[in-house]
Amino acid sequence: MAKTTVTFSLDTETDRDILRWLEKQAKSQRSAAVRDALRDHMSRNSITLGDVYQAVKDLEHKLQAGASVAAGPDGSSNWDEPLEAAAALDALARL
Amino acid sequence: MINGGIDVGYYAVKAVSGNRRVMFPSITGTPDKARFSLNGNSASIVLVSPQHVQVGEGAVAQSRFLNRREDRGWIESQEWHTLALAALSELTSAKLAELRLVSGLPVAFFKGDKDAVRDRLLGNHKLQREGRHAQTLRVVDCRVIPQPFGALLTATLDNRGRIIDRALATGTVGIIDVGGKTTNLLSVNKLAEISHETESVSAGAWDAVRAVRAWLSEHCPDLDLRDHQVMDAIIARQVRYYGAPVDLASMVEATLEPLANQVLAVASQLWNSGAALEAVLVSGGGALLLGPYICKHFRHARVVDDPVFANATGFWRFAQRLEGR
Repeated sequence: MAKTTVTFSLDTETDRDILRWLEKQAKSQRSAAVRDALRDHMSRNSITLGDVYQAVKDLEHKLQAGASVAAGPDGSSNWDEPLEAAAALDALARL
Repeated sequence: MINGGIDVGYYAVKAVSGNRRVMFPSITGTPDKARFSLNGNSASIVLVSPQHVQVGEGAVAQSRFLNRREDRGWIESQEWHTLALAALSELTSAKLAELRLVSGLPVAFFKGDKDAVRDRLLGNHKLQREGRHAQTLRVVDCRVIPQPFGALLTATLDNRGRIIDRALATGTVGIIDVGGKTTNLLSVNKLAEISHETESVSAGAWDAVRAVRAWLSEHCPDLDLRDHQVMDAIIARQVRYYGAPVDLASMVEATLEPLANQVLAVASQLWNSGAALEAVLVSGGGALLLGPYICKHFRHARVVDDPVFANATGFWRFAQRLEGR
């Protein structure tokens, strides 16, 4: 497995926070710390199987608590009603 | 908040809330009990407060003295209030609950009685069933609509109160609601009532039951059937007497046909051939009796699913819709 070195530039003013963080890392571990930070950032911006599982569990809890999902007869979330009929039902409620 | 549909009819009380559906005869009676029971009197509804009274099947089976009213003034009566409370206590056993109710009235009585029905149902109701905690049921919203709209709403709305049948919702539809004492005919266009095509007929399933009961008392004098058993006999066109079948076909036809003709005469006056109607929906406790005659007359007529509960189910779906507004 070959090694490669990547260099990048930092601004002493605008990137002062990064420089401070790098200075806190042990010199022998700086590359490893940067690699971990980059991997952590990459995983946060992509959806993992764990994220999907958690979302399904959250939905399951909400449905068990009585939430309902709006969907049309075809499964879509759009729900059009004939306007005159809907108005007639509104009038019926006011009788 | 519990959404409910409640249909207090002359013949039976029906109430629906979600999967909960209850029906019992519109009868109150003294709170007498059998000395022993093999089935635990599971059908028995006994209120100990605000009145000590037995309701429904339990009253029919156990009470020494029964009350059954068929006059229009019963809406103002204690019996009507007791039946309504019994229905609410069947929908929930919670000690404290808030409800949104939709109920109905026959077309002919709607304008005159709707405020009275709404006022009787709205507000706090304190009651206690035998063997239960005292309950306070707070009806915070109550709408009263013409009764046959219930069946139309059942056919048109889903369980969340949304319009799912666009053909019925956008067309002109006739509804024939055959109740115990009255048959309501309603015509709507785009779900709005066409008032000059709407009528009530003072005839219903109860008339057929009475006629068949009179015939049975003469020809099968030892037979003691309850109302719903007479109804079953009418539908089956047969009854068993001392183990032998008694054919009721001809006498049932002779009873139902004039009743159906009375309803169809009014329907024809209102709708002519009915050709302009998208559909004719037949509902109510008498739908299974008069439905075949009506369907024969109007070829696009159909008995709605579960016609006995159709109005109460529609009322509940309408209550669901109101929640979403």
